[in-house]
Amino acid sequence: MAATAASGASAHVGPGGDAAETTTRRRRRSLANVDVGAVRVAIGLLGGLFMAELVTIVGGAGPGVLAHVLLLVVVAMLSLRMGSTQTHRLLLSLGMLPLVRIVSLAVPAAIIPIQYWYLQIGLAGLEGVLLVLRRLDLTFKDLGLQRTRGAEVAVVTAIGAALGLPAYLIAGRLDLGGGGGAIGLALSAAIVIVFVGFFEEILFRGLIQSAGTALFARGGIALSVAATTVMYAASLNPRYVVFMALVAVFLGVVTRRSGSIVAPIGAHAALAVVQLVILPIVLP
Amino acid sequence: MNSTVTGYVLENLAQTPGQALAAAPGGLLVGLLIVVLLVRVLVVVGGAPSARSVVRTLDIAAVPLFIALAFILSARVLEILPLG
Repeated sequence: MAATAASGASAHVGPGGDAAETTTRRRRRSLANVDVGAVRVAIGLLGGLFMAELVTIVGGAGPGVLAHVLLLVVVAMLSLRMGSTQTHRLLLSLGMLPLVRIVSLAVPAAIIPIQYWYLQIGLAGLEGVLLVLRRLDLTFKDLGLQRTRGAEVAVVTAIGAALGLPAYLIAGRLDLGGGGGAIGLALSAAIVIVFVGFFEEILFRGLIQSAGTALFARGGIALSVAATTVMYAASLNPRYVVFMALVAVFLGVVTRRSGSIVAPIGAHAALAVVQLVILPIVLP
Repeated sequence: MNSTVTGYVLENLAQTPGQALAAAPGGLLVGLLIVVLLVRVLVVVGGAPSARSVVRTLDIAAVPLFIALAFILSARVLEILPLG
């Protein structure tokens, strides 16, 4: 009887009901078409990354680097066995994360101004991204680095700048621009824009989300958000982790809607400049 | 992303370039770089058909690690030499 009622309702709905049914079927079909191997790679690597971050937090920098090195070796061995597939692209994209963490834990941090630490990690990481592009025969356009509407860039960047305040209040003070005068301030802002805003967006939204979108459609956003969350988990500040995960969702949705990562780069750069350079001076 | 590391691990990170080289993270970085470069050389010498793609894959790890090592060494030189 319920089935009859349902079919009757469906008959009343007419074309709309047919459309809904078609959408449901399409979703089931798309779920059935998801590459199980790719899902395993994504879950395995993110799980491994989480464990390596856990080892870093519990055991310190030495054991942490060792854990990330082991993960990187696994990525390299899997990569050598794979052909040129989308799963391979996903593997190399996620493989950048342990590499970046190894570099960030190994370079000397305390004897140089902290902004140069960002520069060192960012330079090494950007070179890694370029080499991933070369290995996979991709262009910057494939990562979403292409023109988009100026109004969208302006609005999203303004939202990013506004999000700098809660980020500063939640994460606490980390001053990258103090004590250097106007030139030091400008240099710090430039480093943050390039090696925090640009680098992190080209990594998370450009490489990882685009690889995830090619395999899992909307699951690409979930993948980039999961990667962002795992990498920010080391802050041991649950509120900051949740905040950055929400920011990653926002930036991921913007990227998916526009097909470009220019606006997210602007937003992330504005957020980081406000949080790390401007507010430590304005609100010491 | 990297600022989150500073939240907890900064106290445990290398304080000087000497520590960066002698401490476990720097040593592991150098060890990994040596292994990657050795494998790269062996692959090139071996001349397998897939050598080009293997070398390109290994370069993804080798070049950033080499850059990191260069920064560690340059900081060490700056510390030793009285350049102001």
